[in-house]
Amino acid sequence: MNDNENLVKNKIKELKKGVLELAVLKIISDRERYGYDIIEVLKSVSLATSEGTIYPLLTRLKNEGLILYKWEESDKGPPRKYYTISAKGSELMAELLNEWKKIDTGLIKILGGR
Amino acid sequence: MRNLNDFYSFTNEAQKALANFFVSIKNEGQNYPAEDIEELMESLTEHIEILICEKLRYSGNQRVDAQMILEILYSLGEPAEIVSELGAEKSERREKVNIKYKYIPVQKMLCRSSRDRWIFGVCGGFGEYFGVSSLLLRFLFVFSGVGILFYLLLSFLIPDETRMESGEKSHGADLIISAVRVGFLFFMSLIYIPVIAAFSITALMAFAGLIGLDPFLNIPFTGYLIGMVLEFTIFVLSFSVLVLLLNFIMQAHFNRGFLKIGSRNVYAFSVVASLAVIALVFGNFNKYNKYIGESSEHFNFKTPQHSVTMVFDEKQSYSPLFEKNIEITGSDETGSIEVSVVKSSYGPDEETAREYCNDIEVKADMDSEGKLLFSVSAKDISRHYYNFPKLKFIIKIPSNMEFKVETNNFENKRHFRWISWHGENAVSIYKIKGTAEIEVENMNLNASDIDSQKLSLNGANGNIYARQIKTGDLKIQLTNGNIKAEKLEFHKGSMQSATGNIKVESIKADFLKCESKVGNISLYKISINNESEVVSKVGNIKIEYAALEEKSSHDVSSEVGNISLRLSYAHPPRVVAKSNVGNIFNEFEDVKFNENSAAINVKSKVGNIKINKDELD
Repeated sequence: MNDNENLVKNKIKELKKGVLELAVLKIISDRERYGYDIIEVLKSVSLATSEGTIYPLLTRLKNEGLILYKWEESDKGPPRKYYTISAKGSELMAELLNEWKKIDTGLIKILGGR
Repeated sequence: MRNLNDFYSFTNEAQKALANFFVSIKNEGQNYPAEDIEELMESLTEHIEILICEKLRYSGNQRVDAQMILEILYSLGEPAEIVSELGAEKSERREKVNIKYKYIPVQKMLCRSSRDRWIFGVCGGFGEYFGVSSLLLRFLFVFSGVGILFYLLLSFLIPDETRMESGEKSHGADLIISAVRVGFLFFMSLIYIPVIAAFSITALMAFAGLIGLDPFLNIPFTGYLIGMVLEFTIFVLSFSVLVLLLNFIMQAHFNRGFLKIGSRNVYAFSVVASLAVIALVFGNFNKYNKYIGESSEHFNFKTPQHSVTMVFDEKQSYSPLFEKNIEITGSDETGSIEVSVVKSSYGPDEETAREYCNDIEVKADMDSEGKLLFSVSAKDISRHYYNFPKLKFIIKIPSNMEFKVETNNFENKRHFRWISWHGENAVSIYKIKGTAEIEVENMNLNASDIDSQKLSLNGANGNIYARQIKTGDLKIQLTNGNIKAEKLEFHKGSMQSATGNIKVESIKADFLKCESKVGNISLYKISINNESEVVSKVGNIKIEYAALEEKSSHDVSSEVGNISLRLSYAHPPRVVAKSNVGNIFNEFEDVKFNENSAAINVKSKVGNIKINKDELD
């Protein structure tokens, strides 16, 4: 792989990373979800980067008090960690969503119409 | 943290790969809060477990193998990347611990694979153990012939993976494993030791040849070994090329080859294949053919439409180590004549041996009378100082076919050996110079115009006719037939016939011995310089002496037959005649002789003795 390809890949990664936290918060605010579930959703909208990097992100969000989790038994397979959004998280999410809408409309102006 | 090994059946490699992954995570996370790393690992374990469940359900497998784990770990990403996503400030700069999570198998076990299995999983097991394509191994096993036997043997020797890894490694299981290892080592040594030895010998000999020593030492075994090694090498090289080609085609058309692109296999095979190409392009393997056993050439001719000249040309490979047979067969229009010649030779070295063959020309031709004329001639044989090629000719001639052989230019001290049989008519040899040894069975032998150092004519069940022979050493031997000779000149000679008659006209010799058991002996015009001995058991003896050198001595003896001598009156010999039973008539009884006179001793047990003066002389 040459340097140029690497560069492109890294830039795309950076681009996704910015909105990844917001996306995760939004996904778990709809209903409680476990890690793999979250990844599946992100994958379906091609927002996922390396699957493994979602877990440290969740840990970070939890450490910041934005999300909570609880263990739950699963009828098929191992017990799972279900994540829910905290009150603090909800607040932050609302702020971020607001901000995102501004970015969105701004970007559309720059990048051209839909 | 949940230990997945407790819940699922992992292969060794899979277990190792997973463990390495978590070790890498721990290493990367040294400067992060321990509880964060713990939590991360917990989540990752959960993720991996979910995927394992899914994959097991999807594939129907019972066990978690390395392939599966590596796929999962690949989708997760590099441990460093994952850990860095925790984002917590690193407390201090640290040396990056460079551990790749790529699994490093520590203790691999050779066993019959449970996943990669067509029959008993032997090839799959080897493939996993050595990291080669099992499909390729299958090809090797099937196409190498004995491979199928080895396969069965190995399937007994190598334990089944599922049984070996089921957890309970009893004492017995350990014993089996070590037995398998010993067996495998033995098996490998069976293959590798001779091959390595052969390669070393070849290299040593090549080196010896390089510094001018005789690399072959005339040992047939080493030559054979070289042949084997070369054959083996050529086989491996060409097989590798074939595999690569096939792989290329499969890759191009089906996007699936047996070799994983980027794997060690491909590099290894590329190297081997390029070696093969180099070898095939630059190597002249033909020159090694001569080391591979006995070789033979075959010529065919037809008469009388064509006259054929067969010349053994330089290009024909020739073995210095093994006998080389050159067979010439021919037939006439009706197919009733069949001639085959086997020319074989050994040489001290390749070049000399080739020269031997080169200098001899074999010709088959029809003469004006419609007889097949077969000629052997040596172009310049005199430059070979020793080891003249041994020529062996086998000629099959049908009855009512007359056959002539002509040999030219066989110089002194050379050896010419002719063996011929299976014919009813005569073999004639002409113009032999040098040493000749001729053996005939069941046919007549005619020899004439021979000027040689040594001539030996051997016959069984046939007559020998010799004419105009000039030789140092003459030996004529016949078991069942008559000997007839004319104009013989030799230093020392013996003529023996077991049952037939011996009849010779004109002999000039230093030493003569003539013996017949049952037949008669008739010798006319004989001149002897030193000694002669004529012996007959049952037959009669009749001798006409032309000249006897002074002081020469002669014995004539017979048990049953009569003896009749005719002596020259001009040089009267001293004759002593004795007969136990028969009568003696001796015209020389009263003849005076001097001190230097030749002496003749005549003895007969039962027969009569008659000694006449030759009035004409």
